[in-house]
Amino acid sequence: MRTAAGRSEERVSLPPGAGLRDLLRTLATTLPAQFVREVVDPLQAGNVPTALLLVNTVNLPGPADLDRPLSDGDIVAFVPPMSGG
Amino acid sequence: MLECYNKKLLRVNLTTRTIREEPLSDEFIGRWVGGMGFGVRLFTQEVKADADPLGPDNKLYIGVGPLTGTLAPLLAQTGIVTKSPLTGGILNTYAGGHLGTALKKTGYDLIVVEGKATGLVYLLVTPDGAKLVDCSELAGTSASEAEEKIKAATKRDGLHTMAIGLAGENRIRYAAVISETRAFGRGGAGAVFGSKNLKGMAVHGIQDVRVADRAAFETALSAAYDTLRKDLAEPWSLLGGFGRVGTGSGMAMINERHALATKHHRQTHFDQADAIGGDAFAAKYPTRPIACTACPVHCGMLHAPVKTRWGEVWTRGPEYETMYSLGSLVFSDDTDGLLVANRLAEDYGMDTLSLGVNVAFAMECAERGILPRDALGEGVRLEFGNADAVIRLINMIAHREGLGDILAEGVRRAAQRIGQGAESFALQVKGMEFAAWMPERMRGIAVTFSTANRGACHKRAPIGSELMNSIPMDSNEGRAALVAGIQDKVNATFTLISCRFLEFCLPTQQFVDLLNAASGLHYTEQNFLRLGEAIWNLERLYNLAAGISGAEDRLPDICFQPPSDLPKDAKPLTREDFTILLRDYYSARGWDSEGRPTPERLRQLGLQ
Repeated sequence: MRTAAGRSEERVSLPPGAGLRDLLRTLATTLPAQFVREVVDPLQAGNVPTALLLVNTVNLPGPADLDRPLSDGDIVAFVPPMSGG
Repeated sequence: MLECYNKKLLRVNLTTRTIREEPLSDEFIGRWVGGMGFGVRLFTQEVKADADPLGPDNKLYIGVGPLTGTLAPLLAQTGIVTKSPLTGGILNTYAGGHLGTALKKTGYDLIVVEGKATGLVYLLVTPDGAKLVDCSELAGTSASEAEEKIKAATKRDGLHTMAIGLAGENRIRYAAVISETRAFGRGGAGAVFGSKNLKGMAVHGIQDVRVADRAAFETALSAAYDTLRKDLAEPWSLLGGFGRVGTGSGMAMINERHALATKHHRQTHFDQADAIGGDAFAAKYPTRPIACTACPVHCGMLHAPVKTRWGEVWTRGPEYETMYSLGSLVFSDDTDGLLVANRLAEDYGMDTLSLGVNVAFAMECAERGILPRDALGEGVRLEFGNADAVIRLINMIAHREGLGDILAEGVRRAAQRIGQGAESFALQVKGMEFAAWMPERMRGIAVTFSTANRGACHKRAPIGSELMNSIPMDSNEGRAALVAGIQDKVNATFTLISCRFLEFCLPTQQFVDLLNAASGLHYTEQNFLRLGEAIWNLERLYNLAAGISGAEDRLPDICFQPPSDLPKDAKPLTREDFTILLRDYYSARGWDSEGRPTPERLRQLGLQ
């Protein structure tokens, strides 16, 4: 996932009240095509996710939660949806 | 009926040097199924609760299961049941590789070793019979050197071995038994070997393993392989990741979840985790995966010799748990240092988890001013992140030199001896050191560390579910009952001595189908799980008799002090949470408020 994104961290500025959907929209224009195609687009489309989204390591919202507003300093992580264990 | 069993055990008395066969009755086999079931039942009948774990009255129950030696996948391990020198309670510990298959084919389901030899010996079991071989020349050798020499002296193809290194001989309380780079790691079975002057065991078997219903067994076998194949084909299968880079494949994700125990639990996240994860080892060193008998996962990672500043080293592993204990926990991102530490632990024969916790404990003591920074002698400072300190301390522990002699006893005893409040932060439950997970973060871990019969053990917890948030990691709701169910289920699969990883994907019914087809027994899923619960209760009763009361179902104070880098939405474990979890756990188990199995529950389980 890091290889596809070409980085392991990215700081993003969003307008007040912006949510996860706005974040994904922004990332779709800034991150490499492979990451956008394989991770960002399916999440935006609400398809079966190829990544799980974490906000501050606690919440892993589904497609319905994409409009939840983010706060300043929130950390959003993309985690491969590992199965097993 | 019971075709897949040998229906006998081999009893070896080291004091009298007598070896004899004993039959296992059909009734006993049907009730306890094998592996952990046989071991726990016989141990609890034969070893007194007040026996000294390192005295001649302790015994070793080295066994296999009904499916060992068949082509059933991930069912090739060997198990040991004994009294743990760390906890004083009952221990079960397992290792993969090829030993189990060889043992099954000798014609025994179980080998019981008792007494104490006058000089160093190893047990040799071949088609020519069983005998004790004097081996004073192997004193002080590494486990792998001893295994090589035993093989060279025996000159038999198909011989498989287990042995202890110096740590076992020196009765380091967390000494392991090594079997061809695999380890019976936890709980100190290696020290029990050492206390008996038993250097190891070598077995060569040629008997066929039969099954009761061949057609049904082939059907169950195909179904099991289909399940595994489908799981391994999933792009994000954890087992698939294990097959690619080993059990450390999940390191980055665990770190991202702030669940990586770092710097002696001061932190939940290690900025340098990438340097010590599975991908780092696969990228940095020449690596090839190796498998246990009949295993398509091949999670063992063998690294060819590489030059390090500590000399040229090859190793297998490290496993994920070692990347924690001798990596993030000691705050070291030195990949070579971890490679060398892993190798040393294997050579000396030590449980890497307990070992790393002891090393980190010493560093924590130094950080708090309880131990001096020069406690390791000249030239190496005792401080977090210093790989040289890790290596030197491992050598000192194995040789019982200076501070190493104190830490050779485990952190509970070391903390009692050092005093100054050290007991409040010693990472242990019932005397056994923490495995790689954080009770502060994961409620399932809080329950399983505090209640496991062998101490702070992670083998029966909903780790994947909590990491993937299929259940929230910081919710108390239903968590205790869930853990109790997993404990029962894993105990049941350990009667077959299944690799722990098989349960990641194989439904319980498929375990039962394999067992029934091979044995002719008629287990249902419900009865099988009930068997696991009965074994759990037997262990508990033994521990209670050994003086390990419900008061020891606790976590050290450090677990209730939130780590410094907790994410802002995280809900760290509080004492109130823990009280709820433990109350729920006793209730789910049908135990009284002090954690004692009730007569009624024992009756239901057929234990009275």
